[in-house]
Amino acid sequence: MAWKIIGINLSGIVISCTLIAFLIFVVLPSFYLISYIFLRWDEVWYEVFANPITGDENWRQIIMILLFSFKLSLSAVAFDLVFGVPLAYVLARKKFPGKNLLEDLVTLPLVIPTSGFGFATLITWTSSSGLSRLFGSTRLLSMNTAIPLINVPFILFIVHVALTFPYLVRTVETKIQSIEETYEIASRTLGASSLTTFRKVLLPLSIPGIFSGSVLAFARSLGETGATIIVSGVSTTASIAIVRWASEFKLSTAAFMGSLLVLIAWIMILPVEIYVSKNRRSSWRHLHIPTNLSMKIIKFERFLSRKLSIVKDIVPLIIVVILIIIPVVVVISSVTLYWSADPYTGRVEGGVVYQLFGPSRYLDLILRATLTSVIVASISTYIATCISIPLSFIIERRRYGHVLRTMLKVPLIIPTSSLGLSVLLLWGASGLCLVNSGIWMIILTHIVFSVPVIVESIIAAYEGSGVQMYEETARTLGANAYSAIEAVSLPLIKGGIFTGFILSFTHSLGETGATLIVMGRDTTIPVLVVNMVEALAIPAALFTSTYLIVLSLVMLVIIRILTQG
Amino acid sequence: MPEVRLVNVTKRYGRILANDHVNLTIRDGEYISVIGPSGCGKSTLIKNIAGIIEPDEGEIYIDGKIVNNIPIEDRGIGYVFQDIALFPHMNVWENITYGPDVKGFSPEETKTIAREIIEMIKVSARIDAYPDELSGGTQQKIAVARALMSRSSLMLLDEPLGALDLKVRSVLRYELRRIAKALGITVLHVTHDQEEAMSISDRIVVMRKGRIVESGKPLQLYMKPKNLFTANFVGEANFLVGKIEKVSEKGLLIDIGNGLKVFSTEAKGNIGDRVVVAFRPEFIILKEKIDENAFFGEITRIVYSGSLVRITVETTSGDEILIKNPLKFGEPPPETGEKLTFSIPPENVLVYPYPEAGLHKELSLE
Amino acid sequence: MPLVELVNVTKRFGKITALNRINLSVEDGEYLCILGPTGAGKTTLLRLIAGLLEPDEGEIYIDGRKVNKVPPEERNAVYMFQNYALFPHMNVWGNVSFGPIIKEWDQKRINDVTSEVLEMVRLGERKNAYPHELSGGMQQRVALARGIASGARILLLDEPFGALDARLRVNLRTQLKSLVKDQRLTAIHVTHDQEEALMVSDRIAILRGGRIEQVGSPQEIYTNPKSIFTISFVGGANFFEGVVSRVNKFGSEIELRGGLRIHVSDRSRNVGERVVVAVRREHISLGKSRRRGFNNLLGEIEDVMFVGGSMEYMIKLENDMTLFSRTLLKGSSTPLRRGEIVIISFHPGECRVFEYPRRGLLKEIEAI
Repeated sequence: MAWKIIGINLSGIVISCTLIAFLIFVVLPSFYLISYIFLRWDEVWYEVFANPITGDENWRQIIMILLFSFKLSLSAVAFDLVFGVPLAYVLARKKFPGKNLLEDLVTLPLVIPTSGFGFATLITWTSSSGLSRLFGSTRLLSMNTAIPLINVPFILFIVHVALTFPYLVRTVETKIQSIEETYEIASRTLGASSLTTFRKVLLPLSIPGIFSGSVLAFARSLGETGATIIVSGVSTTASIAIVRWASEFKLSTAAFMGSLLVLIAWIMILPVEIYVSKNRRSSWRHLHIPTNLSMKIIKFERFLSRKLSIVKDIVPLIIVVILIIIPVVVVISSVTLYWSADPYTGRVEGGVVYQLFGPSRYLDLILRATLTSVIVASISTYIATCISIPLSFIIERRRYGHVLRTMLKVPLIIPTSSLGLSVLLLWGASGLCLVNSGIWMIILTHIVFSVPVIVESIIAAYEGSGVQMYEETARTLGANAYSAIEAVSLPLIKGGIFTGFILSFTHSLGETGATLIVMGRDTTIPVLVVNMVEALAIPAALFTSTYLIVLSLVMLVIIRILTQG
Repeated sequence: MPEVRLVNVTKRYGRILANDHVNLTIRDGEYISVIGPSGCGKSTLIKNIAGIIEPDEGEIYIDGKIVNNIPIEDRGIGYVFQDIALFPHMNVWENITYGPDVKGFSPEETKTIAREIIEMIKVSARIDAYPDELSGGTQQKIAVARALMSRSSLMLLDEPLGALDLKVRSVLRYELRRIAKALGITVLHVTHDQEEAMSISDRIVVMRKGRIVESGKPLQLYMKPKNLFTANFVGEANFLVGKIEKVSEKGLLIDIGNGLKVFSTEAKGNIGDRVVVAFRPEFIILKEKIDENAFFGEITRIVYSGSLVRITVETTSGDEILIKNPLKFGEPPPETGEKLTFSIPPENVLVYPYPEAGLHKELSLE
Repeated sequence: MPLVELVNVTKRFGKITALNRINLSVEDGEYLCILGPTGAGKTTLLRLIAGLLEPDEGEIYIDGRKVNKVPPEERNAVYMFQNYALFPHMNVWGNVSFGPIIKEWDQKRINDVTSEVLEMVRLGERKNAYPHELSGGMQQRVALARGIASGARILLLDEPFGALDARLRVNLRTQLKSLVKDQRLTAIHVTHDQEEALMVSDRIAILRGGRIEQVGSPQEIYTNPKSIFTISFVGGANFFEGVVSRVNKFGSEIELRGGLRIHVSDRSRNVGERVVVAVRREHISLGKSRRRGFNNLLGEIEDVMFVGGSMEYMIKLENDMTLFSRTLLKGSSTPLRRGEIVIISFHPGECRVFEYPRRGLLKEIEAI
C-alpha cells in the first residue's frame, strides 16, 4: 500500500533493533556459507579439486550426488504437481464432510518429525511387519528397489513425495482461495465445462502459486535429511553427503557442496520471485493450439467433467492414504506387535519393553532427548517470535518490506544441512568462535528457519483481517501508534502469531539435517531415531517414532483449534 | 411459450429460507427486474436459475425443459456479475471471444458476432486492452458483450451496476435495456435500487424474506401497490394510522385522529377496521382550496434536493407529512415556520389493513 | 475562524497527482460534502484531514493549529470507513467505549458516556451484540456512536451510505444529518451521489481530477453551476452546441445545428463565439401550445421512462437532436405517449451558457 501513516514510527529504536537481530540471526547464517568458500578458496581448491591423493575424486562425487539429488527431487515434484494441484483445487473449492480431516492429513508431514516418518515408511514397505503382512510375502520391497526409467529407489521416492506434497498443496490451495470464484462461474455460464474452466481460467491465474509451491517442494526435497538418512540405503543425496562430510571433518568439501545448494536455491527463487511479483497477463498467449485440436480437447474435457468428476476427487485421497496414513498405522501397530518380544524370533531382547527398560536404557535417552528438544524448540521459537512480530509489521508498512520478505524465503528453501553447516562455520570454532557445538548452536540454527515460518503466518493473518483499516480507525479515535497496535492489531492477528508459534515449534522439534551437524554431544529426539536405526535397535526406534507421531498429532489438533478460533 | 418458469422453488441455508416456494414466470422477450432489501433472497433466486446453486425443492424450466440437473454451462444463459469478473489474464478480445471459443464456433463466425456485438454496445476500448486498464463502466460493458457473445436469448444480470458510480449507472441502465430490446432477449435483472428497476423494466418483482411480495408494471406498482411493504419500498410515502368511519360507493372515509378525516376512492374495507393510509409526497397539492382531504400545518423543515424541495409539515393532529414539490422559475420558495394548506387527491390515497406485525416492522427496510 | 482549513494542499502518488493545490475551509458545525466521480481524489482529501496521509505541499490547519505533522490521534477527527470498520473482536459496547478507554477516562465517565451515546443512536439494547450480528444500518449507527463517544468534533465520512441499499439510504440521510446537527459536530462527507450531497449538506465542494471545481450551498451549486462538468454531474442537463448569432439588451440568440435558434438571457458572450447552452431536464415543459416569452421547439416523443417518481421523456427535435424532459409525476396527470408530437418550451432565463470546452463537449460530460 502506498499509504504511509504519519506518526507510526515504530520508533527508530524498535525498527533498528529488529533489523539488526534479523540480520545477525537470520540473514548472516544464510549467506555466510558462500562467503566462506571465497574466503577459504585455497583450502576448498585443495580438498575438492586438487587433493594430492585422490585428485578431483571429491569433485566427481559432488557432481554425481547432485545429479542424483536433482533426479529425485524433480521426479518427486513432478508427481506432486500431477496430483497435488487437483487436490489443492478440491480443498480450496469443494465443501464435503471430512474436509478438515483431509486437510490435516495433508499437513501431517509438515509437523511430523521427518526421521520418525521416514522410519515408519521404511517399516511399512520393506519389513515383514509392514504391508507385506497383508500380502503374505516376507518383504514387499527391498530398500533399493528402483523405479524403472528414472532409476530412483522407490522408497526414497515415496518418502520425498510425502514430505514435499504438503508444501505444494498448501501453497497452491492458498493461491486458489485468493482467486474470486466468480471467474469460474463466469466461465461456466459462458459454456465451458468445469475441466475447461480449470485449464483456461483457474490454472493460468494460479500459475504464480504453482511456481512458488514447486520451488518450495523442490527445495525441501533437495534439503531433506532426517527421513532420507534412514531410507537412503546405498544412495546418497546432497544433504546426506554434507552431513557425512561434516562428521568426517571434510569441512571444505561439505562447505563447497553446501554453497552450491544455496546458490541453486537462489537461482531458483529469484526468477520465480520476479515472475510472481510482476503483474503478468495471458501466460499462454504464445502457445497456439490449432482450432480443431482445441475443439477436441474441449469436447474431451466436457466428457471427462461429467463422467469422471468423482475420480479426480478420489485419486488424490487414495494417494494421501497410501503415503501418509498407512505408515502411521503400521508403525503404531508394530509397536504393539513388538511390545514384549520380537514376534518372529520370540526373543525378549527384541521387544520394546526390554529395549526401553533393559540394560541399554533407551528410556533415559528418550527422556533426555525430549528435554533437549523441548528446550531447543521453546527457546528458539520464543526468540524467533520476538523478532517476527515487529518484523512482520515492518514488512507490511515499509517500502523496503518486500525486500525483507524475499530475503526471508532463503532460509525456507536452503537445504537444512547447508544451513547447519553455515551456522557451524559462522559461530563455531573455525569462525567467530563464539558458540561451541551443542544445544546453544542448535538453538541458533533453529531460529534461522523459525523466523520465516512465523512471519509468513503473521503476514497471512495481517493481510486477511484488514488490520490496516482497523488500526487507522483506532488512530482517529484517539489511540496512539502503540496503543492502536496493542488494542486492535495484536488481538486481530493473535491467531496468526499462535499458529506461527506452534508451526515453528513443531518444525524445531522435528528438524534433523541441521541438528545433526551442529548438535555436538546433545541429542534431539529425531536424531535419536536416526541413531537407533543405525544401531539396529528397531523396537526402540518404533517406540520413539510412535511417540513423535503422537506428539505431532497433538500439535496438529492445537493448530486446528487455533486457526478456527 | 414462456421462457423461464419457476415452480415452488425453495432454497435453505441452514435454518434460513432464502427462497420460500417461489413461483414466477418470465415471458419470452420480457425485461424483468427483481428488487428487495438486502437478504430478501433475490440473489439466491437468480443463482438458482443460472445453476450456480441447486434448489432444495421445486422445479426450474427454461424453454419448457426442466433444468434442475443441467450444469451451468449447458443452460444456455448469459450472466453478468456485480463484480464484473472479466478474466484478468485475458484482453478485451480474448474475453469476449471466450464463450464462442469454448462452444466451438468457427473463427469466422466468432469474428462476425464479435463485430456485431461491439458495434451494438458502442464500446470505445481497444480490443487488446486488459481489464485493469479500463474504467469500471467500460469493464461492465465488455462483460455484457462477453455474455451476449454466446448468442443466448436469456440474460441474467446480478446487480450489474452495483459496483459503479451513480452517474455511470444512470447512463448504463438505459444501455442495458436498449441492447436487450434490440436483440429481443429475455432479461432477469436483480438490483437493490428500486429507481433503476422502475426506469428500465417491463415488469418488477418485489421480494422480501425469501418470498415474492408482489409483481407488476413499474407505474402500476408505484401508483397502486397492493401491499404496504411495496408501497414503501418502491418510493417514499407518508403513512398514517386510522379507522374506517364510513363506507360508500365512492370510497372510504377514514378517521386519522384529532378529528381529521381522509377520503379515499379505494373500495375495500368495513366500518371500524383499523387501517394504514398511504400517499406519496409528490401527489400532494399545495395551496389549493379543495373541500376534500384538505389539511393545514406548519412547515418544520425544508430540504432542497436539486429540482425538488422537500417540505416537512406538522399537521394540527401532530403528524409529520412529507411533501415534494418542484421548484418553479420565479416562484418564491417556502420557508420554515410558514403555515401551509395542502390537499391529497382521494384517488391517490391508498388504504391497507393494519399489519399484524405492527407498522414499523412491516415498513422495515433491513 | 474556520475549524478545518486546507491551504494549497498537494498530494502525489508516484507520478499521479491525486490532489492539486486544494484550498478549502470548513466552519465549525458545518456539514460539508465533497462530491465527485471515482478517482477525483475525494478519499485522499479525507485521509489528509484525518492525518492518515501527509501532504506533499501546502498546510492543513485544524482549529487554527497547523497539523501537517500532528498524528491522527491528536486531531479530534474521527474517520469512518465505507464499511464502518467496527472492531470485529469487540461487541457494540466495546467498540463504542474504545475511545474513552484509550483516553484513560475514569471508569464512571466511560460508562456514562458509552451508555448515553448508545441510547442516542437507539442501540442500548444491542450493546452485547457483535458487529457481524447487526444490519448495515445498525453498524453505521455504532460507528457514529463510537466516533461521538471518543469526543471527536469532526466526523470524516467516507461514502457512509455506500454499503447500504438504495432505498434505505434515503431514509438514513435525514437521520445522519440530524444527529450531526444535534451534537453540534462538524462533518466532512465524501460521496459520488449528487442527490445525497444536495440533501444532507450545508455546502458542497465539487472535486474533479484532484482540483476543486466549485464550492457552494446545494442551491447555489444547483442553480448556478460554474462549469459544464458541474451542471452535468449535479442534476444533469440537455446540452446544445451553437454559435452566438446576436446579442441585444434582452439577451442573446444562439444558432444551433440545422438553423434552429434559441434565446438566452445571458448577454456576456460575443457574437460568433462558439458556446454550449445547458438546460435542465425539469425546466423543459411539454405541451400542445406555444408559450409566450419562452423558446418553443417542435419534437416527437421517442421514449417514456419512469424514474423515481418522475416521468422522463426522450424527445427528438426537428434537427435530429435528442433531448430529455422530466416532470414530477402527479397523481392525476396522464403521461404522454411515445410518438406524440409536442411543443417543447423552456424559458431563456433557465438557459445557462458556457464557453465551448477545449477538449470537446463529450469528453467534458462523459461519465464512463
